[in-house]
Amino acid sequence: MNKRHWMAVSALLIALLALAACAGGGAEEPAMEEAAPAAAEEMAETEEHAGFMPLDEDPWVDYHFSTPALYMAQTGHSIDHYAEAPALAEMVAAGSLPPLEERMPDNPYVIRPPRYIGQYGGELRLVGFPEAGSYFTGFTEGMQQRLFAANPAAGPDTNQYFANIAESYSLADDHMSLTLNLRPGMRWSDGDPVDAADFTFWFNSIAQDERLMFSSINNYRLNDVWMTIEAVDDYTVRYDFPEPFGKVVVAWANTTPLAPVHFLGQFHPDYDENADANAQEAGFEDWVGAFTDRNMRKNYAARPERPQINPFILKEVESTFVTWERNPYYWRVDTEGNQLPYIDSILVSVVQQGGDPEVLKLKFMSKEFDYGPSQIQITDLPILRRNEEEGDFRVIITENKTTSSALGVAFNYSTQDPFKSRLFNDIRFRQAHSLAVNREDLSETIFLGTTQPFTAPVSSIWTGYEDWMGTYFAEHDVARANALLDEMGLPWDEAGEYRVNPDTGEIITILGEYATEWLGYHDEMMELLVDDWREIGIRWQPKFVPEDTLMSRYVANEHDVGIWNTDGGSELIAYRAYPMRLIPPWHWQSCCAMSSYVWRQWYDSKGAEGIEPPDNIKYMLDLGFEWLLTTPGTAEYEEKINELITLNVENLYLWGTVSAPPSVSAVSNRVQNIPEDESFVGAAPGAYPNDVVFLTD
Amino acid sequence: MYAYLSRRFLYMILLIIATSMVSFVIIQLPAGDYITTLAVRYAATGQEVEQEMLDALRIQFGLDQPVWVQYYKWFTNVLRGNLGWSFQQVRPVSELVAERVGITALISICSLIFAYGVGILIGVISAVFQYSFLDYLFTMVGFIGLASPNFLLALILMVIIFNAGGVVGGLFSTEYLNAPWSWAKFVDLLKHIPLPMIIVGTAGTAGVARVMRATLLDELQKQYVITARSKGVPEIRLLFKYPIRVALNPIVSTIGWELPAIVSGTVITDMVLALPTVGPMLFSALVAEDMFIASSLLLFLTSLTVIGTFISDLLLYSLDPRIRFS
Repeated sequence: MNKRHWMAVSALLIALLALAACAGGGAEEPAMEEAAPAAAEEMAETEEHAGFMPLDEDPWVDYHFSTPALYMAQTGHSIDHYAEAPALAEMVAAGSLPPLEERMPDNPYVIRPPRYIGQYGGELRLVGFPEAGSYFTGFTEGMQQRLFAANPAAGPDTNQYFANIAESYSLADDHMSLTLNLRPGMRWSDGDPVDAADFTFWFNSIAQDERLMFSSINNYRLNDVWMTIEAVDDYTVRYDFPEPFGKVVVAWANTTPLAPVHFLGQFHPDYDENADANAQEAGFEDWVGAFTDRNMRKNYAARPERPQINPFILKEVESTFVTWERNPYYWRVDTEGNQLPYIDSILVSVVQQGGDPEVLKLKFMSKEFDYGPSQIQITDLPILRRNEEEGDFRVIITENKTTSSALGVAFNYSTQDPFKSRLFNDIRFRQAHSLAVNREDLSETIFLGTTQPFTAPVSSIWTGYEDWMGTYFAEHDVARANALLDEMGLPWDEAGEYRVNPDTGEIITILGEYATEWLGYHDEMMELLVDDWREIGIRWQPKFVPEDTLMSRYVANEHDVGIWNTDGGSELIAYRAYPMRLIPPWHWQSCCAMSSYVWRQWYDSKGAEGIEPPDNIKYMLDLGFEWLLTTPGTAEYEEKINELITLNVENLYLWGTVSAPPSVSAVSNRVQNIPEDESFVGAAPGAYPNDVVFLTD
Repeated sequence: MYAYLSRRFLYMILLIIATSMVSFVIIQLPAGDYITTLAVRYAATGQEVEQEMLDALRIQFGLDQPVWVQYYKWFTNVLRGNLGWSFQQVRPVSELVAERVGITALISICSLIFAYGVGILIGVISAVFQYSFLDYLFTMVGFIGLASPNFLLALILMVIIFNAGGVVGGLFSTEYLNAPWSWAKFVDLLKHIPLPMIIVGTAGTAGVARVMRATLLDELQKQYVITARSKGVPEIRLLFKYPIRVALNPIVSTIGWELPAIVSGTVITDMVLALPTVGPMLFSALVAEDMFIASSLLLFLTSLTVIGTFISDLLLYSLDPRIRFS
């Protein structure tokens, strides 16, 4: 029995053992077959359980309406009156809160809930971990309200946007200015009005100060000239651009370009001349420290006292738990005029990063949390299915549309080793490696057969993707692979085991460093791949290294090969930042440069640092940055990105193994109105409106 | 005498400073810093990672400065009673530690009581009934307890308890997490405590039982026991009056060694059981290079150890004339 069969058998055994353990012994049912159920079945069960009447057969079509007037115009329905949660109504009756009409804007944002008109009340229980001053949970991550909301019906990578924070927007025909019409009567969570001053404060005093700003300032200046903002009146702001900026809506969609000047002004020297002295008195080094303490990157999840415009606001922050409560001044309503959110409060149990996810899964299955922990992956499916009924939860399996491959490989083309440089830069070497991979086997052994061969560096939903790209050099053909390497003049050693360097006679050895912090399956994948590559006589030494170390080796140009999944390759993010899976270093530069970081350094510094790349790479870099300046939907946009993808695929610079496995998550049956048939991870801002989520009990 | 004491005291201070320096540098030795960790985390969860953002965060956290400047700032702050801030939670370290120290001590003390109570009982039984069925049984269980890693035991017990419909993991059910203290919350805590108490205590139990059995066997064969027995002292009274008290000596004298562990907890087991103790926090801080929390915790633990040693130096000084007169 060879090693591979042994692995498959032992994987099966482990799965069975896990089943047996969980079922208290009597588990003969083949869990594997239950692995991929139809989404439709899920939905049917859900409806029956919830006992609420579904609104629409196709839940994700056209449910965004920036104002009640638009809702009326598009559907013919109107909203007669607004309603609020019973808990808030009591506070109004007791006089501790102003009445609803004084808390909401004249024109609230209208959402048709994805499945049901919800009911008020309840506490949602989540598990999260600390992260740079906030507490990461998938749910609260989607809470921050953005300038524009994407249309989820248009798919996860859409360019269709609705005005969200503002009532409406208009982009000048010459693309030289953008006007936002704000919502009169909209308020911060402390009751103070949201007006033009909050936008100008953010743009002039925060966005342009690199000590305070945590996102790309390149969104706010073009060729080193800053854009300007003008408050036309209390509820109108206009941004003027130094040159045409047609992609402004895409570029800014994910931003929240306003800040509560009535609260933050006291910490900023532009508004309070004693800010510096006050900060030092409070124990900070200067005003920047005091200011950023209240306005950190994810401020909505860090400081309870900072006013927000989000559906939930922080209440208590302890090291073991965090609580959120509804924002009584929230400005979005459902189609019956109920002020959102439906849920009263959220309780997040805080666990330390790096802890054991198994206990969290057990706690979820014994109904202590409403959402399964984020570490759940496809290999947990059998155990989840077993406990689905008893634990009163449902498993949601969604296609992973923005990740192209479960594991991608990019040789380090800029390596300092002359012989390896010759190998890596020879396309036959890459082709041979790709042909040697037994992709069917990978999929069966590790992903329960849920993945397909996929080699392209971008996923199939990209503009400019063509069908042949995913399977280019994806066939399993060891003979052809060996022929390619023979052609390169790489002789075998005497034992016929490995190929050697023809000049020195040394066995060709490639150090395959990889990390597993985020993707538990990389260990098993590397093991199988190393076996595959032995067939073509290349000796791989897989080595697990912590992700920090791995990243610094990537950036230092010390590695042989970059190995990672090809996530984050969403077209939207690429267009907003840069096509990170298509030009060196084939990922984000600073943290996860996969390969040839020094080429990019050379390009960005205009030759001052790094190593000069060959001409074809320079051409690709130029092409990538030219694409960023084109307008979506135009022929130019499509042609440029198609050419760039084609160049990458044909050259196998970053080539994949099998497609990304489906995302698996689990959620309690008491939670409703969440997206169950589409993956909204990452790309589209506001596509997951968690203010419409409600609890059935 | 004062010369000896002040010299020891001076050594102690120097040692604490030196260890704090070394640990501060060692924590930073791995390539990258907390921002690298954060960047990878953002990338892995599909968020954007841009150079400008990372640079701004580095400036905000003071990570753009050389390591000795960072150390100087941190250490002078520590002297003023300010242990610094946690990067991960952006809260004062002292607050974070204070929230966890009580729980950690509670679990440690419970498992100590469990370990010593059960261990001594088993030791006595197996010594008195040497080579009986009970002796063999306890010996076997004891060796399993000593030999099996705690985290494995934790996983197995958790699955068993989960299948029996019991509560697993953490110290409180979610519903009591943010509730004020009440009788119901206390009962809930009592339901959660036995699992960590047993798991953390098992290895200790086995050790205590072995030592107790060996020393008690020695005692039981001594002349005075035989004499007492021949004079007709009742067996139970005989046992508890002298031999057990003598046999307890080596156990009591090592109890002090457990003190640092009471504060730090056990890292791996606590992680497996998702207990909100100091150990997992230290681990997570080390992995993420969350320097101030890691350095402060290490400083705290080394100080405890060094002060403990200083105290035993003092005791030794008063007990051992050779030190006093050297």
